Amino acid sequence: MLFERIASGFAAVALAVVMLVGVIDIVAGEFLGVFLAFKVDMSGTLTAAAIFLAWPLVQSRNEHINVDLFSGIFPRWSVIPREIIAKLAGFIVFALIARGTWILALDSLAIREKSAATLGYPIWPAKLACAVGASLVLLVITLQLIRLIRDAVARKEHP
Amino acid sequence: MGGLETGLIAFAALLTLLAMGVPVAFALGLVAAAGMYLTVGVTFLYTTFQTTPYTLTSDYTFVVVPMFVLMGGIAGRAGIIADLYTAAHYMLDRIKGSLLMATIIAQAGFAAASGSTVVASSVFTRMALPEMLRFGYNGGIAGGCIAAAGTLAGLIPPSIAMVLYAMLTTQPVGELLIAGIIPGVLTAGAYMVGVRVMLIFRPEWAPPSKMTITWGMRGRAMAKVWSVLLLMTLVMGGIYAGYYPPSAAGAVGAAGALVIALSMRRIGAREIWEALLEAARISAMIFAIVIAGLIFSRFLLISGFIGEVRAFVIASELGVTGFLLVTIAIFLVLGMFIDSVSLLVIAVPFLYPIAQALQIDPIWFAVIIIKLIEIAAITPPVGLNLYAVLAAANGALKPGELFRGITPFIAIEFVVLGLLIAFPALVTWLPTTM
Repeated sequence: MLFERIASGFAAVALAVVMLVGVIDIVAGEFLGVFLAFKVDMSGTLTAAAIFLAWPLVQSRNEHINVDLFSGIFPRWSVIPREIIAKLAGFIVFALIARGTWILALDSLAIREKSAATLGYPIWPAKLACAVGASLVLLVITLQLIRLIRDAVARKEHP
Repeated sequence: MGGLETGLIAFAALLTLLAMGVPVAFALGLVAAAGMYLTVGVTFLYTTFQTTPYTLTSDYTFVVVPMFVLMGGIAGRAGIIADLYTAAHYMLDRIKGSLLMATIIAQAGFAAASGSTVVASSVFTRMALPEMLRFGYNGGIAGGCIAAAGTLAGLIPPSIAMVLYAMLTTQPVGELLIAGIIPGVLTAGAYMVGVRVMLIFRPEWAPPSKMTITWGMRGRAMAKVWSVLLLMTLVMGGIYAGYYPPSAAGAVGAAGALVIALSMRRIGAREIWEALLEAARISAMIFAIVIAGLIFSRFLLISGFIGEVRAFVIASELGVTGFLLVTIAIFLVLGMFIDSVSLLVIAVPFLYPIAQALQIDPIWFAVIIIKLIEIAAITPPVGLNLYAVLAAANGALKPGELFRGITPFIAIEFVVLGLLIAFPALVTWLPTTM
């Protein structure tokens, strides 16, 4: 879907910036004696944003690590119920994460939170991106659940 | 209900969810959430889920994870690894089992450019296995060698497993990374000696190469190895000499790999974009498990499970040796069913506090745990590296053949593990010189 590809695109760009900031800081520090004052805050917040924004794509591709050793011992009919349980578990976990991240983001946005230590580097956009990323995961799981239930109904009607 | 019972019920619920196919991060998170809700209430549950994910992902120390993944992705796409393999193959051509030896050396080099054991196994299966089969090598031994040497990425920096351990235990990332160097090199050496010994008894496993390799070919191949040496110097040298912290070393390594790839004209905008997307996705998967694992460990702590287990271990006078034997048994049993990253996240939160109580050196314990994790990665039936090899082999190897082929390498791993336990200085010496 388009929205998770856009989100993961932002994640990729964020990681590219983290790499550039890290290397510019080292090179400029070594040769010019000038260090980037915002390096730590910028790298940390952008990495957080990258991780949260990459989760929707990971979820839509079902790439989260799982143990599929025992899937063979479960009966065939249990495949969809087990997938639904897995998705519901993910929904609960990400609902809790999204709830918490939105509280952090809205608090941060309200005060336009900036780094206290370094040149007022803005932190709130990254927190907002994290909240959006976590919410998109919920959207992806909801769509996956709808698809699973629709498949289950279709199979029941046309076995 | 006591902490011990609560924890055991939680573990039973966790294993049930895992067996049902629930992703590890979701299973850990769900059990922890339910446990927190039932033991301490909703406020603690909400606060933990509010603070842990953002705090962990925005911690500058752990920026190193996506940077190391990115570095490996770029190095792989640029064919830097293929150069190393060709050079090792040409240089060792006159030695018996030269392709096995070249695979071990090249994987040790790859380990210095990528921290992922699974990626190492997969890349080398595509590159080295067809060649070994073409020369009539035993498929099981060839596959086993690739899977086993893939574990070197877990020890030789930049090791993602070491960074994960640091995340779970708040140990210094730099010291942990440097502590893995000697055990990693020792393991590579032990594999080479092991292969040599195997071929004395079973020479038919690796027939002599019929290829004619000239000194000119060797020279040209060796001239291309500079890229890996430069990456090793940038990452390990920078951390060891204290020029920069591991996070910056990750960024420098990734940028270094990119500059090398661009200068060799082996990578374009599309490959760079793919490597960035891949780094974001793989890091997201890793962080999901680690976040859930940390929340789970917090639940084990507040439920009283960790305190009671620690008290039980101390009261039972198991001692360091007994505790280590129990730890090895836990990893061997669980490692047969659970993948390396998940195993690390599930087991370390309750083993590490006990190790602290027994006053075990945390850096040494980390390397022992990583070694056990890597042994688990090559132990059938769920060794992650074995499946990476099987998947990349595209039917050229059968599971039974590979499982037989990996057995001698597991035996070698135990010899190395024994050496690390008997001589802790092999692990602890190098970090003290930083």
